[in-house]
Amino acid sequence: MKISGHLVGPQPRSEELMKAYREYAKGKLAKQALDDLIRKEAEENIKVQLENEFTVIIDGMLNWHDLLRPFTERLSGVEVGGLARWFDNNAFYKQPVIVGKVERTRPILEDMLFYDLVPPKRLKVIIPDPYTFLKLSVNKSYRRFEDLVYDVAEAMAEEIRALPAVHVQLTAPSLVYEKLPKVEIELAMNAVDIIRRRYGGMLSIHTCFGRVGNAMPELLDFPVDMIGVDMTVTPFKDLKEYDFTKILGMGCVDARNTVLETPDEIVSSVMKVLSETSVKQVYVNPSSGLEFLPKDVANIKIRNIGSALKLLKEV
Amino acid sequence: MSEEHIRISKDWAIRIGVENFEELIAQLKPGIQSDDKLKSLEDWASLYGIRFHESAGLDIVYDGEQRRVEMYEYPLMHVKGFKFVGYVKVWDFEIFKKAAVFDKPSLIKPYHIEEFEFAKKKARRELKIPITGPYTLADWSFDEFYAKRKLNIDDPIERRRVNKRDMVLDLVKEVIRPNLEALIKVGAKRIQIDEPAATTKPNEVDIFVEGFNEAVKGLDCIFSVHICYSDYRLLFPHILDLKAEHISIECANRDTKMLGRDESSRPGYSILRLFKEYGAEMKVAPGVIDVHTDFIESPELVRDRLLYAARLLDDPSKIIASNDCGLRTRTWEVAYEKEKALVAGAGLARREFE
Repeated sequence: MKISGHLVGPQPRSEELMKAYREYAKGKLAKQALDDLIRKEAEENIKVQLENEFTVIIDGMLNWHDLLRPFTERLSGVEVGGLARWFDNNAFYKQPVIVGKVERTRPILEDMLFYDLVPPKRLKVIIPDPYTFLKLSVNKSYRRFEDLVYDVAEAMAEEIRALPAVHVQLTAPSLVYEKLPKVEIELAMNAVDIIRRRYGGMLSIHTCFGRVGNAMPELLDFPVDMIGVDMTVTPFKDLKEYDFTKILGMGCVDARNTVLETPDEIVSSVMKVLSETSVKQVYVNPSSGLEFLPKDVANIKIRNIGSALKLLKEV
Repeated sequence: MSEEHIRISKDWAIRIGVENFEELIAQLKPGIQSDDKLKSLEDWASLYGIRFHESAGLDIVYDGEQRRVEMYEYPLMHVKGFKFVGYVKVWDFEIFKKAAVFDKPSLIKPYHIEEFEFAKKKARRELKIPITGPYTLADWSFDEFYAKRKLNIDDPIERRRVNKRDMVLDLVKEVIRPNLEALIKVGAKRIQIDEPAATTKPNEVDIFVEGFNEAVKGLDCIFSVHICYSDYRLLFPHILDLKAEHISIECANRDTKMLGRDESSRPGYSILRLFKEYGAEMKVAPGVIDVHTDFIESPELVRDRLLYAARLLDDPSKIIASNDCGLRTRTWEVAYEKEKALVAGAGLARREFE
């Protein structure tokens, strides 16, 4: 059985890069110097994933201030609003404010991703799922929320179609952060379907910061190849209870705490899932983006996943 | 220190009325600073902070936390059982140095006494002293101690809750309460407990309330709580049990800049309705100054925000004019103009009731 590894969200910026951003904001560092540093760290991020034989590779999303921001800043009909809390974290994002018809009138991610640093056919791109993007937005324009969700889904689908990614992940914490009415989950699913119909590569949905049971069983019907689960907040019974026909993105490495999971512990978690649930295929990943950790701790966690993958090959 | 820095220090001293500032200026010469000199500079910074607030016209002042590195890092520098593990991003360019708890916390020594005693000597207006609360210290830390315990709880969220409660109550007993007692002993009459993390985890809001109440239980002092950038709906109903004189919350950040006292002009203040609906007894200090923009609110905008908040609460005597949060990300120039607008706007609002 092939067990793969991948990352599921932004990588932490190094202390040097965080300070460079601050210097840049104060006008004390040139844009080129900041860009050079971002590129250097993107290279480092890619290198550590390659060394640990991750199947697909992200560039680390170091130039995204938050997961929503490229779309908040660049979609037509959307403006950048005030600060709001990023789920249950001591982290904040700027709220998208919907002020007109949402359309993709120009490329969103083209100049933000370091495609050229990622080996051919290995690029993974992570964006928010349309429903989450809009649950975190302020709608000042649309009368019907579902019309807005579909317009954003169309815009995202168009954007994804223009990218050379072999794997696109839709990050969807809003689906599990609290239990949603069935009609809301179906709306989110229809939005994902709009993307699915335009994108032929591997499509995954990653849920984090809430137990996956909050979106079950509807989540199993989403038109995606893989469902990512935050195991640090999901009771095991949430996986056992359902017939899991898709690939499981197994978030068994805590992206929000510095306690290190040993490779043996990761292996044993994976084996438990494979032996006690209906899951047939697993991607091992952190529970969310590792952006909540200092970079050196994040890298140890990545290496531990890599070591676990090697051990799992031998099983 | 450059000539320009020295000139700015002098200009501000004159502007905000720092007495004997010539002594400071004489110290601000290039060269190696001795520990005594650095210590003296901390006192000067504190004095500047106090006069800054007083000359802007605030009724209740503090020194702007001039001696503190930051509201989380500074206290944990004085607590055993934590180790700093590195910087993490909070948003955009804002970062903080985050620690992990690796052992049961214990206080090395009360860490705000020197700050308070100096401020008490110098302040000409009523003085408050802010202190970071136990829930925030816990929530902002990695957990390498409580989380390692073997608990017979299958639900990871419930397990996290149990670990967090134990950590918060340990911090209350070993760190926060000894600090509060020491401050009261040297004369503190008004203490603001900062708990920006209070609503971070919706299923732990009651732990924040329990921690606060345990910390202040039986102590003779006016206590308030400051909570910013939060979903305040999550405070209810737990907040009704909080033993605080008032709650300070951030509202201007989510408001419009238009004048007006109606719902469409004042969306940032709608949360006041809940305080009224739940019959909360505490006063409310809604932020009327946005601390994250350089936009200077006009006194009329401050007035309208306060009057609208007073209307929603249905009791103007329970409204306190305040900033959304600390102004440390602004320049002194912007911060000063904002504080003056706060005071002028509060004056305009008061006049409506005369």
